[in-house]
Amino acid sequence: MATDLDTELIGLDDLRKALDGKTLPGDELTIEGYQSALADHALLAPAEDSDHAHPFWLIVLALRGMGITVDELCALAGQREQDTLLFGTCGIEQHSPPRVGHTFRTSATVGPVARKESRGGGFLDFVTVRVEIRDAGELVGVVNQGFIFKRGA
Amino acid sequence: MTTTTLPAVGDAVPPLRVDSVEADKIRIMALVLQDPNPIHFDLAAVRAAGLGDREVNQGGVTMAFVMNMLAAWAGSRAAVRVVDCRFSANVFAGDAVDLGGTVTAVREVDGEHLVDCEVWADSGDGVRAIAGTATVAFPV
Repeated sequence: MATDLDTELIGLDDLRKALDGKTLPGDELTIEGYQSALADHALLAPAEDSDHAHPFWLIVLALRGMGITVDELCALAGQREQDTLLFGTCGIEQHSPPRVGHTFRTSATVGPVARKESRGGGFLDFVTVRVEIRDAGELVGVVNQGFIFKRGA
Repeated sequence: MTTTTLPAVGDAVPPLRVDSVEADKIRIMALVLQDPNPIHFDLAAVRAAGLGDREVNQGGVTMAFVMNMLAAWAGSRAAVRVVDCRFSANVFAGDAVDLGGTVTAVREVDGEHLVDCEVWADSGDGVRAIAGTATVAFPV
């Protein structure tokens, strides 16, 4: 949750201590059939004659499967009311298709944090979370989510 | 019998168009993602964030449209192996989205052809919302 407007910007050393290389709890999640059907409808997905979930589900499993909420990630990153969280990048590797009805174990780690000065004189903090997704121990996918904290003045 | 022609470097990925992103579908995906950010379903929050007066599509959903294009081209969801995207602009409810791509390399790895592409998603007014790369598998 964002803190007050008066809060000072978290220092880079503290940000690194809070996040660099941090192992997140991960989770165990199931792709339910009805949720897969609703997502296919909402995503305008082409028909698929298999039990393979849409590859987008790797992103769903990664976001839900960090083991902490996005709000909790923001708190670790010292997000203040004037800071804005942006979803900057996302990469998926699909090793094998996640199957509808299966239950997946996720493990998540935070990569090295980087800070850059923006053109407007503020700061941008880059936080990457890597989530590995396994079905019965077999790696089915990897997702790298790049979050950007745009620090307000 | 289906005959698959292997793409060549420089070929265009068959384009795909989403005629209009629907607000109700953005709301469904907020539930699927368990994403509490109100810019996806609360117009007051959208206005308060200075983002105009239409719901904001989730970046991952616009990325999923890219995956739709790739799966339709390669013939299955399983064929989509890698997608890396950078989000550079928002897509809003009511926007059209044009998906496209170009083949940059064709490789044979462990008995299958892997086709590397540049991919993109443009909102209806021509603003690039996503730029990235992808790898899809084609049968040998």
